[in-house]
Amino acid sequence: MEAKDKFIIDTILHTYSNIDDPQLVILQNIQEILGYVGEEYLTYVSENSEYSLTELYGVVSFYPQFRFDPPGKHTIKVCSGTACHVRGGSGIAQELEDILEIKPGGTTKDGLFSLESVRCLGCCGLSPVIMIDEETYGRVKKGGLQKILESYKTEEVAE
Amino acid sequence: MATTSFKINIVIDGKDYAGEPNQTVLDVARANSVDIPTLCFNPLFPDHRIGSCRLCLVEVKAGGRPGLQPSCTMPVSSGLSVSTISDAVYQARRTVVELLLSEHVQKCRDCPVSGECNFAKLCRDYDINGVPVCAECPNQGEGCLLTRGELCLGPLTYANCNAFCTRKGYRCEGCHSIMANEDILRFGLKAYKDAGFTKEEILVAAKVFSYDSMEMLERVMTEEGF
Amino acid sequence: MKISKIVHLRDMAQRGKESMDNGTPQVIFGLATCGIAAGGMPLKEYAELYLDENDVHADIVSVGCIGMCHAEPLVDIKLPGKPRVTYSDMDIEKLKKILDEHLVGEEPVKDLAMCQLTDEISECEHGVIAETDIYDGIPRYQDLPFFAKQIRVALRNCGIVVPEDIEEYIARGGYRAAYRSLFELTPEEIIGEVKTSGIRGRGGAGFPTGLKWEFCHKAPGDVKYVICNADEGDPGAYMDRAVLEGDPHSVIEGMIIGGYAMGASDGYIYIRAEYPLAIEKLKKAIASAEEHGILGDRVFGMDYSFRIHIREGAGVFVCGEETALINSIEGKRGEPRPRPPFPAVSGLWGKPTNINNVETWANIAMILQKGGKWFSTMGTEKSTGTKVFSLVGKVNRAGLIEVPMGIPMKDIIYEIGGGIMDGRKFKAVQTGGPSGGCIPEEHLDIPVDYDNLKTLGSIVGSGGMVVLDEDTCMVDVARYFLTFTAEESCGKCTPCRIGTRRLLEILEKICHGEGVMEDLEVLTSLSEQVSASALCALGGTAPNPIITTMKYFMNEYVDHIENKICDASVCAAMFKSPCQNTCPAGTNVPGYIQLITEGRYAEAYDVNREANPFPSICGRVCEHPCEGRCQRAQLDEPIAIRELKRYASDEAFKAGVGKISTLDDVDKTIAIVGGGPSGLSAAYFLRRMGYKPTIYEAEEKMGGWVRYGIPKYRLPHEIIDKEIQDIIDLGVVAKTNTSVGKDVTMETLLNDNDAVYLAIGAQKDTKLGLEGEDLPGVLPGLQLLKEMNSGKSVDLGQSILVIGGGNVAIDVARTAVRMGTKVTICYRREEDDMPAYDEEIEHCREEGVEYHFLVAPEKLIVEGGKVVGAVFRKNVMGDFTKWGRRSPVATDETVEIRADRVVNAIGQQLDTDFAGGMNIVGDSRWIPVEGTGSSAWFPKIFAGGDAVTGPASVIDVVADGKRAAKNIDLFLGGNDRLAELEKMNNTNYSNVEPDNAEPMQRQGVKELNADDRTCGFEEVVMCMDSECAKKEASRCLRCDLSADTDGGDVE
Repeated sequence: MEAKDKFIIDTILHTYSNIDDPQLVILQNIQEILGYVGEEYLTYVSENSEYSLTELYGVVSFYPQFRFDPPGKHTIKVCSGTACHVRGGSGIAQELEDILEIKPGGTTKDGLFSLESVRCLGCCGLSPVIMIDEETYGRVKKGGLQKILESYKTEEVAE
Repeated sequence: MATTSFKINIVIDGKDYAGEPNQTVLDVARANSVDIPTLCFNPLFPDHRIGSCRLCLVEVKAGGRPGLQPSCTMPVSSGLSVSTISDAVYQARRTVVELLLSEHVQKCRDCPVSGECNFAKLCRDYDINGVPVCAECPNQGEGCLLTRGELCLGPLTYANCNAFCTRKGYRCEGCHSIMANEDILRFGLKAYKDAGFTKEEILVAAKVFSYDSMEMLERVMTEEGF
Repeated sequence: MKISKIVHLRDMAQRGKESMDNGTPQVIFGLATCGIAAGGMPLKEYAELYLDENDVHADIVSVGCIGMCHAEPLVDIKLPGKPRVTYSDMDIEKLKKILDEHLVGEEPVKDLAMCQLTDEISECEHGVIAETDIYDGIPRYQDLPFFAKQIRVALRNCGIVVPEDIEEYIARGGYRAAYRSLFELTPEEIIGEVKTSGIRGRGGAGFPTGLKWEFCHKAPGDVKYVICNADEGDPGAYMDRAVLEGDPHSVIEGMIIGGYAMGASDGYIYIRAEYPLAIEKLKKAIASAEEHGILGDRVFGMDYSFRIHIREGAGVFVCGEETALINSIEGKRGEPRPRPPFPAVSGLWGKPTNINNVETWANIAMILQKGGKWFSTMGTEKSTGTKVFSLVGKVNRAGLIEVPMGIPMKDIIYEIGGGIMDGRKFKAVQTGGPSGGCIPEEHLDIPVDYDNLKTLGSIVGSGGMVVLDEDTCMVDVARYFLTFTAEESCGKCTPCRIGTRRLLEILEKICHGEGVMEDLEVLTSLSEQVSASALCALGGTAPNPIITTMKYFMNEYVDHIENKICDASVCAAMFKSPCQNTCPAGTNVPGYIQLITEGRYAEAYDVNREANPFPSICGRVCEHPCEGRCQRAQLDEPIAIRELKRYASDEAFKAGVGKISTLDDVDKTIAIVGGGPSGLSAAYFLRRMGYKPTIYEAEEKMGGWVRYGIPKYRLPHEIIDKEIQDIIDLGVVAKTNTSVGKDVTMETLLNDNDAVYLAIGAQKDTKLGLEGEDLPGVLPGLQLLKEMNSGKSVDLGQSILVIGGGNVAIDVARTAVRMGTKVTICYRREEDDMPAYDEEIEHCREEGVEYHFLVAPEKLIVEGGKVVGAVFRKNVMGDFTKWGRRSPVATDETVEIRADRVVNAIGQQLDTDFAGGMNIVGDSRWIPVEGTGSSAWFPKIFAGGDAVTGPASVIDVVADGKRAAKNIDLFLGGNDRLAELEKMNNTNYSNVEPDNAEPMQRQGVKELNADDRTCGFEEVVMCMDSECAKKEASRCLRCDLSADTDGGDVE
């Protein structure tokens, strides 16, 4: 584990030392900053706090928000809420799986996209909805997906 | 710990019992030998009650929220009346056992519990056909009748007899019929292969009490290379 | 500045009012998550650029969601002292226009404006805009059907104020209630007020909030907590997000009041991490409340401290359950705890804790401000106040609405929601998310409240309302929710962890076409057991979607299991392609479209003819339900399936069509009564199976309704002759001019034949029921149409008046126009309600027919023994019925319309003369039949078509004939010869999945212009040309291929 990561975790542990039962908050912060809660991070937290590795693992494995592996550069969340389902959301999910050639939970070979199936994103009026990183796309159609993904790919090339 | 003489009276199955504050219905029932089955309750950690297995459900008849409640976490309160034997309780518990059974990998012949299986007892109590005789049979390893060269039908036969015959050293003749469960048959048949029995021998023995599941047995045998 | 006196609040209110209307024009964007998702951000950036470049002085303001999700992105423009005008469905181009004309030119763009905010749509303090300043010609908010029935309490500020701006919140009456509660009221008085209001928990269970507060208040302990549950997890509900994004202060104020009343000094808001914007707004709002001394030490300078902490959820549905939520705040796995002990006694960290939902908290301040009594006057006795619902799914105006409890469901769906999208048929409304149930059409008139929905097996829940239409498969809906609950089950208790999985497995089995009837019993009993014995509410209510769908849509379960049919074309294992599955006759649509792309038109025709003997007729007049299910519509537009069918058959006729496959002869005879499409279809299939059918037709020529009912300009008679001749050529005996009941009796037919098929249609006109309708001058519509179509001369005079709104009325009108007659059509409802096909109504108008809507005939005008017109009672449209149509209500106005002839085309009836003495019809309106199509009382008699169902489309009655043929075969001991026939067709075509997902425009068809067509009977709709047809055919996505692979996956 890099010194930088250790420093980040130390800071997080220190920041939340004064609130009650901070383990979930700590883990959420680690994931937000470092992108995932890998085994080495968990071990480090358990060594430097009152929580055992088992406890931490129990919490991390319970909440689907946490990931044990580093994510792709962009995370695509496909809403699987009711409104999206009845307005063709499963078709969208399938189409994305086909285009990216990955299953939900996976990351593309080039590390660019991770695909996740999430429960309601709360934009039911605009169903079907997908969310890429913090950007929400409403009323998506199968035919328009390629174009949306393209914009992220070209952005990559531009960089 | 401070002792208190303060008692709370509750009714279980129509009979009055006295419980202490902080006790649950399960505690009072156990203290008075009223049978309530449990799986997730661990007597070694009596304070850690999570109410998850749902086997200890009792039906509240009066003095509480009506319906099925887990007795392990339900505090006693005065005027409470519960039933541990009502139809609803029986059905609910039976469903729980069935559901657990549906997820259970049954390799009973190798199981170290060796004839003391609580789960097999629950199946027996709630009349669920689903485990093989091995689950109730204490003859493990060297003691297994098959290992000793007898054509015991235990690994293939529905239990709920508490292994009446094999406990006495007689082979199981399959009187509860061959099980209609491919996974169990497949696992059970390995033992016959190890013991060197032929397809014909097994089929002749099995046919005595079985009819419906014979077809499945034959098919699985073929698939397993008998 | 710290607020500690009422004058401070007043000062801030003044500043807030100024910030909302401060003499600077404002451009207001609705930028909640939904607005951003709809593309609001680039618009805002454009507006900023615009102001900059054009040097315009105006403020750009971002507000929350006003609830009109269907019209997003929304942009409002407010000029000082003038009402706010809302523009919907904005894009850059429209935005530029309104900025140019409204912001700079100070003149609202009326064509684009949706509504104006004049006085308040919510229960809030407000400034009133003078009547003179209101714009003409733009509807007011409260006049829009979407808002008319709403009362906004919890959503009072959403979409109106800048969410994080505390001054604007105070300007609209905010924090007065908290101030007053702390200074003037005792905790008991506050709780008393909440109890008086009768408000029940808005999170789902509906437990009385006042009572809950009292428990917590009375629980012993110095440290207590209040929690706001914002872990909104129900799929299909997003009101909590809208409130937190649009008006976070309302929740904070509610929590301060609650915290004070219950003696808590800390409050927690547990919010979903999936709502980043809401978290951001909330944090800002909390910070500004702290800054003003409303939160933190010494609230309002009083001896009371209250802090609010935010905890983010981590994507677990069950954390919405209060005990699981507490575990999660404590940093543990979010599994529910057994209750008792209840949180009010032992909750967060073992202390007394009160948990309420966002919406409940948002209501509290208004209850304290206006009084519990005021709140309880809204809604019903046991469910008081208003409730926010998220109305989503297949509804025209999706959005967030707040309505008083007790409003009928039909009003929500049809008035507020504007009915079902794309003119589809309503099927059910799903309420309460995975814990709720589905409510079918027959219960749509129930008033929505906690108890009523419960009796129907559903729940109000957090307020999700997902409207489902005929394209939704109810078994799939149950499966969908069980997938959800099985996945979200925390795994703690046995019934939920394993039970939901077993339930799901059974449903999947049914959806894959492998179900057996016993599965239904298992579903029922296991559902009951799971709900009775699960630990928490998630498990306890998980089977609800199954229970309600089985209760109301058992027929779909049975269809899936016994007939392997998924009517909605959802369960992929049961059909090849949605179009084929939807076609009543089961035409292999992708197959013949592929053949068209390959230029093999004759074979395309033959593939059609395997399923339906009238490809050419249907290519012109089919109602094409297939197009409604075309998957291409998800990309751009559906394929023009009907036009392609016509193109293929026109080409096939030129090239010559192939031979029809038949089976060996069977020595059995079948009499078919009626030579219309249904009878001919039955004869066609029976003959191909080897049977010997004879058709008895009363008219001179075969064809029935397609010949005598459909005018030539829609369907030329050569086409009919050609396709009927092909059937006769197979060896079908046709006895024309033979009327059953007159020339031959039913008894004879029954004695001489092995079976009888009745396809007699609905040939009698329904009477108007008015005095004088048998006098000269009144013409029965069907009779008239028949005469006109068979070329007989009819005397229509100079003008006719057609009463009715169905296809008969339209066909009479259009034919009469071609004969040089002036035509007026009178219909008792509105145009949208006319049963006639939309395109025909439009054609008719183009051809110069005059329409009168909302008029019902009351009296015929008789002059000189002759009818010369009618007096009509004017109607207005009343309330919606549960069937989704408004019912006409008579007014006291009448109108008189005169014409040379009055044509009665109000409806069709069964003519029972054929039956003679036999009791085939009984008291029914149509011939009663069993599921197989055999007569309810005579097993040897089969019936189908209009005579059984009432007037239906051609393809429906053709399918009826086909079904009758199949069942007659089974009845006569055949071994499903129809299936044998189907197997014989082995036309090969390419089965390569096409790469055509790029949007491509649907090819239109040419029509004669209105002037050319009214002077003759030439066919109005012209055939596609070959280039168009090939292009159109190449748009087909070939769903049949992907469905095949899906099927493969299942096995």
